[in-house]
Amino acid sequence: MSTNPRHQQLEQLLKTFVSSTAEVQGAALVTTDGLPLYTALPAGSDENRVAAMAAALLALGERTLRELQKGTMEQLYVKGSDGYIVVLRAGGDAVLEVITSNQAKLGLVLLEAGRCAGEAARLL
Amino acid sequence: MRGKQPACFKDATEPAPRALAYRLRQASGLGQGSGSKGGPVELADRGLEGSGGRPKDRGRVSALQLGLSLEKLEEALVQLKEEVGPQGDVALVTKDGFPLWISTPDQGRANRTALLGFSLTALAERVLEELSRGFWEYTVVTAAEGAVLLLRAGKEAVLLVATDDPSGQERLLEASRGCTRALVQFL
Repeated sequence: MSTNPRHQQLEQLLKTFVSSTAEVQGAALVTTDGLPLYTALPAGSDENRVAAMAAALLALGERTLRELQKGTMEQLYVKGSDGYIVVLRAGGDAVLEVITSNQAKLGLVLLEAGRCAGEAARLL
Repeated sequence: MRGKQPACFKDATEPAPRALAYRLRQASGLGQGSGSKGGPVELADRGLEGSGGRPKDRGRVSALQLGLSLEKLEEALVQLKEEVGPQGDVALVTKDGFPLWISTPDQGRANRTALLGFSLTALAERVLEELSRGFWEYTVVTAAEGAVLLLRAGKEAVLLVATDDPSGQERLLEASRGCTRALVQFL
């Protein structure tokens, strides 16, 4: 564990978000280049691969919005048959990815994820 | 110039993909070689020909059945376009990234829209697989000035809907789901 208080705060922020938000099963804070910063992922997930995919999803989502002239991206979510994946920007250099179960209340998850991303951006 | 077109639909049985492409092109006014600048709705056959739609794969469909299905298909898409509004985009693209039916205010971006829809879908499927979240159902990208929705439309196609109204995304998602249910019957 890092001794830098800011790093500890970020790690704690992510852990708190995952444990306190209902139906959130994992989260990852990654750089926009696709490298992991802090992760709290379900067992068996490859954090490097997940980080790269989160950054790619964000980049592609932003590119699509630019192409269709819809302005700045707020959030992207993917619905799978067994749950959601939410991706949103956490400041200029980071991306927050959230993994939920199928029973998640998406409005609540998006609200909490937005707060967590805002706080992470401030700490970064 | 694209492949040879069927001469008549009344008594002929045509391979489904080729005939669909021909009917869609005729309906859009592109059948006379007017290119993609013909009108607000662009319809293309590239995707159908490129998605492995050979006669052996798809079988043969009677012209009457095909005509009825095509009318329903177009009706569903046009209805959705009306729901989205004149500044919105509706695109039906193959999972290979080829456009099947596109209605966009800017015809110049039709192919790029189809490709972005395909790329985003392919990546979303890969992420869901990696994180064991089952099979892909839909993707929503929200922005300050609108939202983009991508939904599964059968096994071969993806429906892309872009709106200028970010607050109306839930209503639009429902409308798009209704449209994909209609499309699935045909695709």
